Amino acid sequence: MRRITLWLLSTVAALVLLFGYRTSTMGAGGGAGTFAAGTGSGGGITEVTAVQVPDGNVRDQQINGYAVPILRQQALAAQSARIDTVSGATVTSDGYRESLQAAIDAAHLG
Amino acid sequence: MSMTTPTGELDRRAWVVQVMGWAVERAARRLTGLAEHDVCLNAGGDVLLRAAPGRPAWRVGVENPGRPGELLDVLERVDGAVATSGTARRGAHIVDPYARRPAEAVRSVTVVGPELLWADVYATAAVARGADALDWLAALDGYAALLVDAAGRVRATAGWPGTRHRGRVGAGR
Repeated sequence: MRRITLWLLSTVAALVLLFGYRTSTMGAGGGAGTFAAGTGSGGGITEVTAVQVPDGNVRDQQINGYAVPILRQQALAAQSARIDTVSGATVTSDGYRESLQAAIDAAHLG
Repeated sequence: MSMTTPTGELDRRAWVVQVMGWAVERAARRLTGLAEHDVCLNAGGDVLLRAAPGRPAWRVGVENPGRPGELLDVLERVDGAVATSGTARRGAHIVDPYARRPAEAVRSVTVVGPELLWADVYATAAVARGADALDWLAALDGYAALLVDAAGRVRATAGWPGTRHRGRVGAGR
């Protein structure tokens, strides 16, 4: 029995999962990051892995510089408090909203 | 919740709130269908989770809006959703549609309930609502909430499953 934990850095990541798009097909700004944390039998976080982090342009790299340490910090805080995940105010940026719009347009929903 | 700006234009940000919960719930169906796996999906702070019968509950930390990175409360859940809206990460970005200015009376609202879409909508609407948000949240069927106002005062509705029901957090921003 395994437990799966996913951090979806943005709504785009959810849309990527939903529609099965690869972020590389979205063009500039279509960034999404997905982290997976493996949990051991005792319930503690044993590993944090960046499954998918976009770095296709300068904006992606700027967002990564901001977001990746926050996610790792959350993972460490979670470990010390024996918690699996953290609910908080949305971690996002104008860049991600622009990306979401690009994703919606690409899906012909906009 | 208003879908238009004061000038009458469609406010796409309001749709982002709706799309996020909806998309995450749809995405999670692929995961919740996996046999012998428990699922915890966190989309930028909004959490959807499920544990199989007999399995230990997920432990979900609620971020302290006065000190992001520290925890205000911890919840144990076997299924459902936990959604938080507030000013801790992006400032006062939620607009009171009646006053037509950013809502600042409430710093953070965390809502627990069966569906992520509605937990997310209720949390954001409560921040926009401001002063009487706790009474409004208390009347929601099947959902419970923890609220931190601008002064740092912490209050919860009667059904809040955590251990923290009142108190204070630091002033923060």
